[in-house]
Amino acid sequence: MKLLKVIANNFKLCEKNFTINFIPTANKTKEDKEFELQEIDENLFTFNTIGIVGKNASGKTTTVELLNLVYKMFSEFQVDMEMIKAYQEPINLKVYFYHEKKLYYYVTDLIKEENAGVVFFENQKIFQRKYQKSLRNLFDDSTYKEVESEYKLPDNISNLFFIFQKIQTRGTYCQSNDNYYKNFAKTYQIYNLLYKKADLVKSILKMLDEHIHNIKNLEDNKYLIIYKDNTEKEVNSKELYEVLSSGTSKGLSLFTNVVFSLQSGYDLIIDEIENHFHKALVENLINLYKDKSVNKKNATLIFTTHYCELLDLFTRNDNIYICKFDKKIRLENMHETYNIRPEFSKSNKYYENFFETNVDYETLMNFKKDLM
Amino acid sequence: MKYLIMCEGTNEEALISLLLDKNKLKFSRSDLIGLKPYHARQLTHPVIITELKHYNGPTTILRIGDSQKDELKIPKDLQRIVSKKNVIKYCTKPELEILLIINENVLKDYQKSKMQPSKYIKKYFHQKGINYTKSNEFFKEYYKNIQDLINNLEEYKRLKKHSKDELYLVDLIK
Repeated sequence: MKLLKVIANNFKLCEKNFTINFIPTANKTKEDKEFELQEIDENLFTFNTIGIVGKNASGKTTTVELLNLVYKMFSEFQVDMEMIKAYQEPINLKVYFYHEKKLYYYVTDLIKEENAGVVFFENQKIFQRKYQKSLRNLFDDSTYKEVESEYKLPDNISNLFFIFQKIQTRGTYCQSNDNYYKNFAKTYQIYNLLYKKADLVKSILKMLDEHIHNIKNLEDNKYLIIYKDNTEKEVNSKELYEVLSSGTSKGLSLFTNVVFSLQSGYDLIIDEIENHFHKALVENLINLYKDKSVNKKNATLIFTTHYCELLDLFTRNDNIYICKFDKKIRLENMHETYNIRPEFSKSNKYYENFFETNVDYETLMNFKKDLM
Repeated sequence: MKYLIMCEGTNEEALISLLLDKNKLKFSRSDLIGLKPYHARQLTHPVIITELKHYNGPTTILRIGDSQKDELKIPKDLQRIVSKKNVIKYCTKPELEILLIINENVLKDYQKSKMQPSKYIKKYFHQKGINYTKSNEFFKEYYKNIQDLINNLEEYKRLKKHSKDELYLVDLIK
């Protein structure tokens, strides 16, 4: 399954018809096909990396939270109350996707049922058509036919179940919140799913902390740290978090997710990808998704960042979104909104305030003045 | 010292990958920037540039292609990693498909046809009911016996004379 386009209404503070596109809208060069795009069917390409940038509080995290909700729906056919907590209006979603030679679009309203503590799917419809190896009318709804539901599912289960039949991770979300990375049990759960590739944790740790040789999960909440000088230390989860640097804790979890994503082909969302990491580590992570000898199953990496130099890793503009907040959160596609040649340094343009993303100088000086 | 392999086309990339995987080259994947040959003509893509910068050590570039008339431009910020004298060309002229023609033992017929090797071999394979595609899969299947490929590379060097600065793919075989 690959997402092609997500359109949301009433999701948190997002503007009407808030849209994220996963397929290229600009010309595709040979080089792009080598590094930037993945061919999921004949002539049908999706991005292998999508970058989201913007000022603080511009809506980057909200954008990836929306995608997290969509992937959760596609993976588990349910949505957690937590995900739409503070908002009363029904959320309306329309998602175009590709799955096993067919194109689909799915519409639903998400409604909180406070009493039951669950989210209901209402007004659901799924439409489909065969992929005809042409991009013509890809998003023309009149070319799709409705798929009749086989039977009625409970209200908190999405009809996407009828398409996919089984629960399976199709996308996952790595938050920027450090608390998320205290959960080593989850990390080792994923690690075990990788058929216990013994050297995997070691090679991740080698990138993150040169003093640690390995960390073994002995049993529930019991870990063994083996240092380079052969000394060992047995710790519980809480102690492990205290012993490791914040970069190592986050990296161990995040890179385990990266490995699983690349090996199984599911999409990975990372909020604030640069947080806690050396620039080379982040660049290497992004490059892994652009390398077809590693990303063999067409996984897509979606990330937010404040580090505009990372945009220079992109040779296209249509896979970069700029978040703006002005009463509502809106997304600008770099290709559609700004007329810049893809080969130009995007970070230079960013510093020139071409995308109107700079922090106002007077605001910075105002703060300094208060301290003087 | 590491090598950066830049292949002009997907065909060249497929052949080099095949030889690497069969351990027939004078170097292994761990000697390569990015552990793989790249399909690239110039040092422009950020993926290759960042890989070189992350390595940040002396690098020899092996350019694999047919004629390679365009000069490789080395961006200023990479000149401390790659110098012009460490760019070596390996050619298979006029096109890589000449190896398939040698292997099929139809060199004379090809010369008579005055067609491009790729067009000739496509037609030739079509007549034999084989679908020729410039892909990794085709070369993997076709050169299942890797010694055939090495023999073809040797035969090519025996038949063709290159200018001094253009080496032969067989020179990379260990």
